[in-house]
Amino acid sequence: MGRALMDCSDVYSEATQNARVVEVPLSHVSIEVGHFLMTDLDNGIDKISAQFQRMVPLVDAFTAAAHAQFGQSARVSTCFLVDDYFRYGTNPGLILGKVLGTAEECGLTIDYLAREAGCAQTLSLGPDGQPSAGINLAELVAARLVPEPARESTGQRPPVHEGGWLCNGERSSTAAEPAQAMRPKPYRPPVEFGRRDHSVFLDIEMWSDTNDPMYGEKKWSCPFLATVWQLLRLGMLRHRGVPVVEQREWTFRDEWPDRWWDMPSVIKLNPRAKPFAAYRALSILPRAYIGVEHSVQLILDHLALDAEVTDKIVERGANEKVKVPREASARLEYMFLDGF
Amino acid sequence: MGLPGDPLIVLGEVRTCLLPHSSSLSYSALSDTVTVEGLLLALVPGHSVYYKERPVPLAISPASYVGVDCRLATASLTQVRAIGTVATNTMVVGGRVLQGSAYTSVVRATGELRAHRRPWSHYLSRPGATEIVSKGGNPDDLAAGYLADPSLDTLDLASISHRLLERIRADLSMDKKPPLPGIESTRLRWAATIGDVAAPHVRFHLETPTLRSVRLTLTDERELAAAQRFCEDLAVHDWLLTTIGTVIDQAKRFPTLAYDVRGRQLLAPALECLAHLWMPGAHTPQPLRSLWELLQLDPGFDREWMSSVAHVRDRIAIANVGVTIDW
Repeated sequence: MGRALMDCSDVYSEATQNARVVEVPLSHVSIEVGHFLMTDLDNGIDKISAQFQRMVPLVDAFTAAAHAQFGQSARVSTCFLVDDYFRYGTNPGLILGKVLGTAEECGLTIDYLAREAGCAQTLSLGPDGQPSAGINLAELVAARLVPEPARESTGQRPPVHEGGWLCNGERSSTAAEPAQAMRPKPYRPPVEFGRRDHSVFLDIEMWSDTNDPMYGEKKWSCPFLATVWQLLRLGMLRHRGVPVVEQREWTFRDEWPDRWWDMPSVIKLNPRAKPFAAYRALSILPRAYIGVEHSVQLILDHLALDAEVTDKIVERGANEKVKVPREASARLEYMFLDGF
Repeated sequence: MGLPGDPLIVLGEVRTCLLPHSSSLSYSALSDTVTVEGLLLALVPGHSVYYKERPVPLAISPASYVGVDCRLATASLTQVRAIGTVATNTMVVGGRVLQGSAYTSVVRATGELRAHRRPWSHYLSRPGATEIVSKGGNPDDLAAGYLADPSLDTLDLASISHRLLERIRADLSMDKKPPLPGIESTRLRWAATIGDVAAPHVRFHLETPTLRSVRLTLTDERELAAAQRFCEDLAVHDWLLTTIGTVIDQAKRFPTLAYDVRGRQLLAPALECLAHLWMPGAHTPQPLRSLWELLQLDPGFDREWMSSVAHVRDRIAIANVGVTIDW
């Protein structure tokens, strides 16, 4: 049931009737080339160098695979996300000098650099280059959450919302009900809604309340910001129909601001790079991120994303002979690396 | 009709009430603290509101969704289970009238897993649809079951649309001083199917003083997609008729109306706030505008409205004459 037929008069119409969805340029594949905790970046370069060295042949192999699948003109771009949300006090110049310098030494091309805090809130740069607060991306995504209903959910009762938590089933009895001292009920384990024979129950903290002025009212969790990040890479987010981040080219490689939040969410480092967003987003990450990415998949599967944006991406894919699934989570691929 | 994935039936409910605010809201104005756009975007930030200024301002919020997994009401009491999402929109008409609309397009589940619940992402990639995963699901049986009083353990669009309205009405930016006190909200429950008819057909029934049911039998998918907007438009006009009737009844409580200022205090705001909103079919999509012609013949919507408005004007005029005489 779309709103397409709301009023389709060819005699009279108004501009505000149907807001248009602006498309973003798309690559075939976006490759995320590794990830570090800020503490790793703050120390020596050994860890960075080791991970980047392993990355180079993998990026080559996945690029070759993209060419094999989509043809020699397939567009592939690389990106790297800096964790500046939980460690905002660090110095961008020091960190980026180290990361980008090491990448260059290892022969790894990073086309786009993104900030994790930029997935919570974008920055809007005026024509004079002055930064101001932009769109609250995390809030925008959180508003699209549709919890999965338990059986016999008729709509009579509002969906159970455990402030800031999302799960894929019914929580265990002790979690949901206050202890009744007089008549203790037997423990009922949690149940996954979509289980086959047994459950894999996952309960994710998407945000916590905080009084820290640096975060506003909510401190978003790593899985939630990673969800926003993946949605950006898939070209799925719009604010009133307009893309939420513009990939600003950064021409002064050595001149970084003193504070992370004076930088845009996504920066284009390589002027010849193919588009940032892609039909498919591949992440090559240390094994430690399996839990985070499992959570990302679950959060994505509970979002009612803009159907018009999906329609357009699926349609564009079809024009290029790329079959794009409608489910955003089905457009993510992973490779997890041992030893980091 | 009949292809897998085609809707068997669309079920919906629209609630209509007066915005709890003393003045008429403008769509978006820098100087006003409360605007229609602000109210509607509070529910779904970052999206665009559908807005049409003419002939009567209409603003529709972006859709939001509620997950359901339950039985659908049937007249035959056949057990039919459906899983999916109900779509909801809120609307403001003429800066005065607030509507909450909940609807779902019922389809038959397809594929190997058609008797099972699929991963939740499957349902969210087709928002606003519910899939029948059991046997049964005759469209006429579903329509009859839903439009008769559906039992509590079946799909409950009434509660969903009620919660939607309450969320907006609770918005603190409105002053909670509506110009017409004691006006109830009305409910319009509707079901639309494609049937063996030459032209779209509507059956409109007053169930109780505040509940109406509408059964639409349509000729094709295009008309089915327009059904929801038609029902929302119909609900606004039914509410206007109900409300002006209520106001006239309230004024009748003052027997010497001609000299009673209280009677005029009821009637004048009704005329001022509501009279210009009467525009049947103005916001109905083209494929279903012909349905209004049926309703103009029986019960004769325009006739009833004009007679009511004329009645209110006469009473105010008489009251004014009375005041003049009093002087």
